[in-house]
Order: sequence, then C-alpha cells, then structure tokens
Amino acid sequence: MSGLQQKNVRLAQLDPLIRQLLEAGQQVKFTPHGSSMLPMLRDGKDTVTLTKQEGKLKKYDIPLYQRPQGGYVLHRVVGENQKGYLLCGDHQTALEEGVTDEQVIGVVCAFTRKGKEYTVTQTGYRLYARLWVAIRPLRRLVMGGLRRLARLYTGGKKEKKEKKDG
Amino acid sequence: MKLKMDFMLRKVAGYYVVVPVGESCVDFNGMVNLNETGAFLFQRLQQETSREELIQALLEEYEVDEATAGQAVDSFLEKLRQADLLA
Repeated sequence: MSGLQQKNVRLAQLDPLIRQLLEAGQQVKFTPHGSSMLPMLRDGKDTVTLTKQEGKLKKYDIPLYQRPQGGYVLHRVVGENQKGYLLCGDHQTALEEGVTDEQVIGVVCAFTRKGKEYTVTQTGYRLYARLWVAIRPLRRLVMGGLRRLARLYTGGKKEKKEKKDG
Repeated sequence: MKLKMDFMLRKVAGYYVVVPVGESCVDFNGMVNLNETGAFLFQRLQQETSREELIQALLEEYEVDEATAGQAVDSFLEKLRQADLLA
C-alpha cells in the first residue's frame, strides 16, 4: 500500500523539475545513457552534474539540450557558425549544427568517471577535451587502436593464466 | 519522529519525487519516488509525528482496517530508515 521506491526515471519526465531546480540556482546530478560521449562517459555508469548556463556556450562545453523532435542530448560544443552551435559527441565524428541557446537546458560543470570526481576546470580534463576535439577526424582510428591494445593486453593476460594452469 | 531535512514533493509522471530543498546539488540517482499513500505519509512526517498518529491519519483518509494501515506505516517507515531520511 505505501510506496517508496528508487528507480530511474526518463529524462522527459524530469525535464520540468530539472529546469526548475537549475533556475533556482541548484545543480542536478544524473546518470546519462548512450555511448556517444565515450571515452569520457560510460553508458549508465558515470554521472554528470549540470548547472544553469549563463550567457553563451563556449567551445568544449557539454550542454544538455533538447532537439526540436524532443530528444535529449548531451554532446560537446566544438564550434559555432551562423546557424548556431556545432556539436559532436566524443564518440562521434559527424557534426550536428544549428543548435541554439533556446534548446539548452543546462551545462556540465562536473562529472564522475569510475567513481572519481572531476570538474570541467581541471587541467587533465581540459587537456583531454582539447586533444579529443583536435583529433576529431581521427577518433575512429584512435578508439580502434585503443581497443586493439586493450584486447592484446587482456588477451596476453589470459594466455599467461592458461600457461600457468597447464 | 520527523524527516531529517526539508523536502518538497513534485509530481512526475503519476508519482511523487522527493526533492531536497536548499541542497546545492540534487542527485537524481537513487532519487526517492512515492505513490499517493507514500506522499500522504511523507507530508505528515515533515512535522514531528508518531507511528500511531500516522496510522490514525491513514484510517481517516483511506478505507482500510487498522492492521493494514499499521503494516503500511511500518513498511514505509522502515524504507525511510533504509534511505536514511528519518531523523
């Protein structure tokens, strides 16, 4: 009869509440879904903290914005043209253009990755953001290379273990 | 007994979410959701109250017998304690 539960709610349902809290000067923390912000944010594992956006977005900012069709997106600003901001997920290479300030709900000011907290003003993170945007056309190559390295590494480990067992 | 801090209840998609008032950062992970009855009891716990008073309030508001109301209050209070919301 009495109900109290902790569960994940869709962003669309929380949208009015998130906007209200941000407007009141509070920050909101949640776990984004999807792989488009890899390697920075892992689907359903890492969290982001949003704050209200004051003024224009800057290059490397990560806004939460709503597309005209209704979908919610958390991608990085990589530039601007006459139509609006240019956005691209860290795990993507294609640009989305024409995103305007009116579509922006909030902007990432901090995040956690593998349980560790980071702010977007931290030097290590800023280096990552700049480097990752600079090599955008080569991302697939780099991610593929990293995956191969990871496979080699874990594969090597397994072989060693098998040898031991044998 | 009473809730640990100030909360506001906001209706989202048919149920209530518990939002801490005045927190600099509101964490949506593991955010507490309440149904109608839960919200009813939660609101009463914003002021100092007792198990008996909560049961009495349920009996006045809903058509339930005392045993059912008692069970409901107990399980609700237990969950609040688990979520560390009770002072």
